[in-house]
Amino acid sequence: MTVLAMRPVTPGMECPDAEIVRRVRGGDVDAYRSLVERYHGRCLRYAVRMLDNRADAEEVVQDAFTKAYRYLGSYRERDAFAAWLMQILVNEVRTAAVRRRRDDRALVSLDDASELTAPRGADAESVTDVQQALGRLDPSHREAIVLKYVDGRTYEDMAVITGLRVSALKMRVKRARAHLEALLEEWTDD
Amino acid sequence: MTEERWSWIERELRRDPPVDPASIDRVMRQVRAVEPRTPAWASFMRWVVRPRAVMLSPMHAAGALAVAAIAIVISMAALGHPSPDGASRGAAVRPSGLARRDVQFLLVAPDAKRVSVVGDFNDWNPDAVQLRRTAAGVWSAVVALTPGRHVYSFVIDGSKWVPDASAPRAPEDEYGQSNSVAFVESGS
Amino acid sequence: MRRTAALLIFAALRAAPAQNARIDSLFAPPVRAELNAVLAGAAADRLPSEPLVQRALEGARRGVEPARVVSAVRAFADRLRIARSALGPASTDAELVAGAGVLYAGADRTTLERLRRVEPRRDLALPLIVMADIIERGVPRDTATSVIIALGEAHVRDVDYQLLRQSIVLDIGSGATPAAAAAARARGILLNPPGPRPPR
Repeated sequence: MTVLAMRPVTPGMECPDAEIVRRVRGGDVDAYRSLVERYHGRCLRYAVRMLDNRADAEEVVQDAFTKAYRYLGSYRERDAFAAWLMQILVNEVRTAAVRRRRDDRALVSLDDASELTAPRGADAESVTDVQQALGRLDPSHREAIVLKYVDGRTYEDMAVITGLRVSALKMRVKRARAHLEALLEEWTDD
Repeated sequence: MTEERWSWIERELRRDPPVDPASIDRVMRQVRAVEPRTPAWASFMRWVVRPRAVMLSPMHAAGALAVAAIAIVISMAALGHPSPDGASRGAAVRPSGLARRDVQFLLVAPDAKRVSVVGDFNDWNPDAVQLRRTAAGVWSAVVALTPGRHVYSFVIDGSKWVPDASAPRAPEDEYGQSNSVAFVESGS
Repeated sequence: MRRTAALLIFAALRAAPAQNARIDSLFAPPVRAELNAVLAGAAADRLPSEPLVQRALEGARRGVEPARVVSAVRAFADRLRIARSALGPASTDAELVAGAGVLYAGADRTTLERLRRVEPRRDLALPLIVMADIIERGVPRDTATSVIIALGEAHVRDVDYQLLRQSIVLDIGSGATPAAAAAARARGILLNPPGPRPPR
């Protein structure tokens, strides 16, 4: 299994992240575009896989870039901008997921204690694609497996981004993978 | 499941969503709407204290931190003492001599080199209250707090701010992160 | 020009010196002025100022840009004002700050008013802290409000609010939806005979 390579270098745009950040901090807002162009695709891919909704994902990615811009004053150059941005995005996605679960629910009366388990969508339906299977995973497992296999992160990177230990992350990925495999075992593609 | 099957799943996972070139424009439009910084930004920042929040250097990643935090509020009534300075802080009328209660702050962080607790009881100063480490990687400090609601956070290795996972959360997150709440009952 | 000078002196006299020292050491003059103006306004309205000062200091320590600190402190003062108006002038500082938190979490002043009506003689800080926390963890605002008001009507003890919060957190951790966890746990508490009434 190969880990995804570092971001491809775009010809003519090899200015390091830290240099761009310095320019933006100096007042050159337009320079920020280079960072957005560099990381937007990767961020969107992560958000789409996590939220399974293109519009939500776009909004969350937009918010993450905006937050990163707003807090550029606290970013320290010796840290990797990409990892810092990713931390912001992971948190934005987590918040969006909570917010979405909140909004989905109308007023619940005190008599309504029926659903005590979380899965969206009936378990009875079989899974017909990988994204659907992802949607069945516990959010923390989904996060780990998307960071690992969609975003192609090393466990060390993931530890920085999520604040969890490598051992905890490995466990989550292992469980997520087992769950994913179980869901997709039945499905043969034609 | 065969390795081949799993590789197929991986390839599916890695498929890129279609690119929308207008997305970048939308991001930049939102970014530009953020309060513009004045040229005096640089001199503002010189005045503002900057021990930073939340960021972990990838160089520390090998010692990635486990942060399962517990705050236990215990009242050790024997050590309560009156706090005359409580009356001079803040404009509200407050009965004098409100006895402080001892509160224990705990954080599990075996890979941390130093941990402090910051909050509205020590001006959020990371140098004010250092936690002491026990053998099991549990860090602890006892602080005398006036009765009422306090907000706090932990600071690991001088730069990473983490809330207390099991304590109530203060919802205010304009600064990028919410704090934890310690509620101290008054003695009766 | 003289009138402006007089106003500035008046404003300076009203600001408490102890707080100024801490703000002064961490913020540049233009920001200091804005923060002190907010504090002066709060003092004039008899709002607790220490929480506002602390919020400013926190912003400085976190490296937040000054404009954001000023707006956060200003918004906090506004919420304190509303909390005070809803919870009543005899409210403790803890009640006001906890109320401000619940307002930030998206509840409105009528929630605070209802809670005060239901428990006129009780310190509401802990119920409000619990309400804000469960909303933060995903319980819909309306559900959280219903739950806390119901507990208030039953005059349950402080320990019951703490129990409620901890149980909800555990249930969510086990995979329950926040709304269902809140409803179920509240019912559990209400079905048990309440303990002795809180003092006051």
